[in-house]
Amino acid sequence: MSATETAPAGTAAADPGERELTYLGAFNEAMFQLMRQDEDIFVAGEDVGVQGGVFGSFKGLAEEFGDRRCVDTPIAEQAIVGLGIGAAVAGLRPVVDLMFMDFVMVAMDQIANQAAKLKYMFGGKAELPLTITTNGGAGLSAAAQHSQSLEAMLCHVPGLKVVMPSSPYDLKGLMVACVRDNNPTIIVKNKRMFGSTGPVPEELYEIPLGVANVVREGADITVVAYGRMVEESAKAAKRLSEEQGIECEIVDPRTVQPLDTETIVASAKKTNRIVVVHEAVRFGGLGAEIAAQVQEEAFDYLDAPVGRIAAPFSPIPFSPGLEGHYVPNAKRISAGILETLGRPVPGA
Amino acid sequence: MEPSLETLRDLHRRMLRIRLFEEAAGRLFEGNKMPGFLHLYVGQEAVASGVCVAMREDDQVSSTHRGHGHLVAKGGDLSKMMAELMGKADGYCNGKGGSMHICDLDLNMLGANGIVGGGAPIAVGAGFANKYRGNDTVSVAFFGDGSTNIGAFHEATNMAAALQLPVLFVCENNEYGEYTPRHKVMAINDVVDRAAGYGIPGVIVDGMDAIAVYEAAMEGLARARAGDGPTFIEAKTYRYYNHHGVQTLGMKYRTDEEVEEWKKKDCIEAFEKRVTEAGLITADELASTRADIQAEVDAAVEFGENSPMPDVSTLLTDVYTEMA
Amino acid sequence: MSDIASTPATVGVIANPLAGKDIRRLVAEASPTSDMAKIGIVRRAVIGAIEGGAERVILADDRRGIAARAIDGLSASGVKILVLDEPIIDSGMNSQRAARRCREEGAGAVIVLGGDGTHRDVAKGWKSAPLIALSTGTNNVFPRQIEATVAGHAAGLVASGRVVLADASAQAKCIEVEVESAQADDGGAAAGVTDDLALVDVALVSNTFTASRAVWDASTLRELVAAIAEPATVGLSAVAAALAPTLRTEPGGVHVRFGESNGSEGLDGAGGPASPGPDTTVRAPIAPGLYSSVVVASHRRLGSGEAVEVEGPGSLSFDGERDVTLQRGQRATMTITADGPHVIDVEQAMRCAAGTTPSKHQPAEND
Repeated sequence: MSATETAPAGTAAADPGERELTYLGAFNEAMFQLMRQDEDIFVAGEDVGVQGGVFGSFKGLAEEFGDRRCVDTPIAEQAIVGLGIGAAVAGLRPVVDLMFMDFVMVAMDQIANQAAKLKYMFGGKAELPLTITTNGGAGLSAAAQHSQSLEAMLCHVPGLKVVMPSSPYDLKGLMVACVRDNNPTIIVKNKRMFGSTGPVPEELYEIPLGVANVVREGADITVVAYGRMVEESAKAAKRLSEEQGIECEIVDPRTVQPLDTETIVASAKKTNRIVVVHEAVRFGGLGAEIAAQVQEEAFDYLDAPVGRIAAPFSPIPFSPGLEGHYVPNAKRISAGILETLGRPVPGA
Repeated sequence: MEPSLETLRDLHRRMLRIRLFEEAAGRLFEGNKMPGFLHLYVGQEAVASGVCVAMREDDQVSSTHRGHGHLVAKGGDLSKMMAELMGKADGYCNGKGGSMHICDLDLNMLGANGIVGGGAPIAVGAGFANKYRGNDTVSVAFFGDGSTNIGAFHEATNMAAALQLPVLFVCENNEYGEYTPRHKVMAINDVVDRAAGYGIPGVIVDGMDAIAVYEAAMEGLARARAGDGPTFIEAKTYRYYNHHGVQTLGMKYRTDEEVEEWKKKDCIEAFEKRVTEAGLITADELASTRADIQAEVDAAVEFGENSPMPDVSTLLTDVYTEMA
Repeated sequence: MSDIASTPATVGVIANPLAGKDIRRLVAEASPTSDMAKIGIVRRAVIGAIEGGAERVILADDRRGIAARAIDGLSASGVKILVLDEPIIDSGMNSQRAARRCREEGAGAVIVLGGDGTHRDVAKGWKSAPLIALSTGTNNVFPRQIEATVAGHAAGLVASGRVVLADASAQAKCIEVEVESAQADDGGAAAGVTDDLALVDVALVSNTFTASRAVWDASTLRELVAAIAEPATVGLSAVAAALAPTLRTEPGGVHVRFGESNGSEGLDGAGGPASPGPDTTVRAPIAPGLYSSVVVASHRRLGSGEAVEVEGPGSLSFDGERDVTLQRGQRATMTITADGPHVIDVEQAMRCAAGTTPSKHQPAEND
């Protein structure tokens, strides 16, 4: 079994190159380049002006583009998303920021009842080039209202695109695709990855939405992971390969809506075993949807039930002593993989 | 601001187009030819008409679940509207939106809205776009008294005020949020009292008087165009029909006497009386306008009835914009 | 006025819920008056009235329960509180109706909250009402700025007879207006006249419609009759005040005809006369914060009882608000009389109660 890191599939930029950027730096660079290129792009949200966003996502933009294009808004998520919708319908290409993914819930009417549905309700006549940027993910002791992964809720609403980048390279390319997309998109940065580094091309490139990336090839089992779970899965895969000669194929769908079922199913048909990893709670999560689709498309190929490695069904705890046991990590992912493979799980 | 004769004709025409369209829609609804919910605008015509006559064509409006009037007042095509209300393929939204989502983006009417308070943030966004582009276009948010109790409305109004956006907020206070009188759900009486809390000027205007609404709207729009930020107009008005459907009398939540009292202030009757008394428009001309519009409405009904149901193949189109 | 001896000492309170909210918040610099402000004023007035001796308080309610909220808990003091029926639609008619009810119920004093328009409505319902005029409106020529607690107290003193009305009040002037009926369609004779009145001023303006009612465009002014033309006030009467100041306590008033060129360009500047000839330009605050230059063709002092006739087309503005339209050729006649409401001077009433001013114990003399 050979394991090779492959170049991301389906990208416009062939070579990630040598230059390294942080996850946040890649996002920031995308914003600069997009805003320089298109006068219709602006960013609005809480503290996105001179503060540059609470995490620094929008750092320096206000200095270059001024407060006309970097708009500090009230702490009012419904109005922030509404601002984006109205401006998009009126022909601009807004980027609106919700500081934490948890705040998506505060703006859910505008996201799910308005943005997602306008085009359909209006018989196709509305274009909504709206990008909602937000920050999700646990692991920073941010507790139950600042740590959630709510992508399953968003995926459930026809009309939205939901994007979960797993690397600096992907974040930049996917952000470009989101902003250029004429549909409402929600791109979720993972808070624990802000400082992660990786190769990022300097030029503006786009990674198409709805195209999965086979992050690691392998023959023994398919691991579907997105967001930070790609990194954890890669660690688990490396260890399993080194210690037990198990070769995992890691498929990162990159966007969970639309979901590249084709690539996932193809991989499952190849490896005959599949697990899905996500930070969100297991019940009703993406794992359930992917498991269902895989059994619909590749039932006869499966040698084991589809495994799901996800958070337990509880709010996210504050204490590191608890939170450490909440979010899936390489160790738990390894255990889940071994279980699906029918191998003994160390310490189990 | 003395309205010109052309403006007066325009006000009359728009009010009458709404009235006759809505009454025809009501008859179709009663005859089970109209699926879903029907929230009729009858009684409030002076508000949409007064504001829309004062607006420019490039000014946008966001609307409410009682939104037919706003589209008609913005110049909507009655045939496409009627077809949409009937769920037909030739409707404004190809039968996908219906009464509560009727829109015409070409007329800058950004859609009726099934969510109470849902339209205000969108109007504020459009206002933002106008300011961003540096044009002097204004967006108008129509909303009811009830929606001012919803968070989205407060957020949107505050944001428009904070960012000094060119938005005109037009509250159609018809005294009822669905089937509950305003005084049960608000501890203030004039919605406009809230305007000061946002730091924007607010005025009350007689919503049964199209010229009064027109005057106030002209001022509010002019402020917005001049870069002076949002204005709040509360138009005191009344819906003759039930929240939903075509019943007017015999409600538990309001008295028949009240309905009759408001009907005495009927915006179209009062308008026609005034302009004829002033010798500006003859009764003959008013009657001929009415006949023309009735013919247009009749044709719209026929158009709607003759339009086919949407093809099932369109069920899954328009969910997303296809990206090349 | 009713026989005070046979009825409990009754104070009426009429608060116009619509006062202080009209278009002059847009076209001029007027401030809004919120319901919360009105509720506080009514409550303080009622508390004061009870303190001053009121045994019964009549409140005109509205669709919005200003009165109901203002008196919350106050009935425990033993005073009777009568809240009038809730009207179906808020309008000036309600203040008129409430004033009539106050008269019928034998109110010894009526506290009115509003601007000039509201006071006019009260006077239309009860022309000689003994009233305390509190300003919560836009143009406040007739009513005065005074703390409601003390105003209520004074009303209680007068209603209870502790202070004799005549000692603490003066009868205001009013402008009695007769509007001819519009010419019938068949060209027949006018069917009659409608009586109307104003307390401060009546103007003929060029507007065909009453619409949003307020008058803020000076170029629409054609003629003005002012009963009060005091230099330190804001409103159309301020134009008259600039020409021929006339106090509210003086008989008669002022009649102004505006120039043909009024309304032509060049009026908004603070410069000199816009046209040659006898016309003069006057600059005055015709609404709060809104100074306008108007071209005056002529003006004269009017004696009490002297009639002024104006002719349509146009609208008649009463105390700053368009209310009646005149068709072409339709006439209206204005006459200033001394028959207006008995306006209670709060300070005078309080002085009387304190014994610092002896009672005359007889009705005030009219001019």
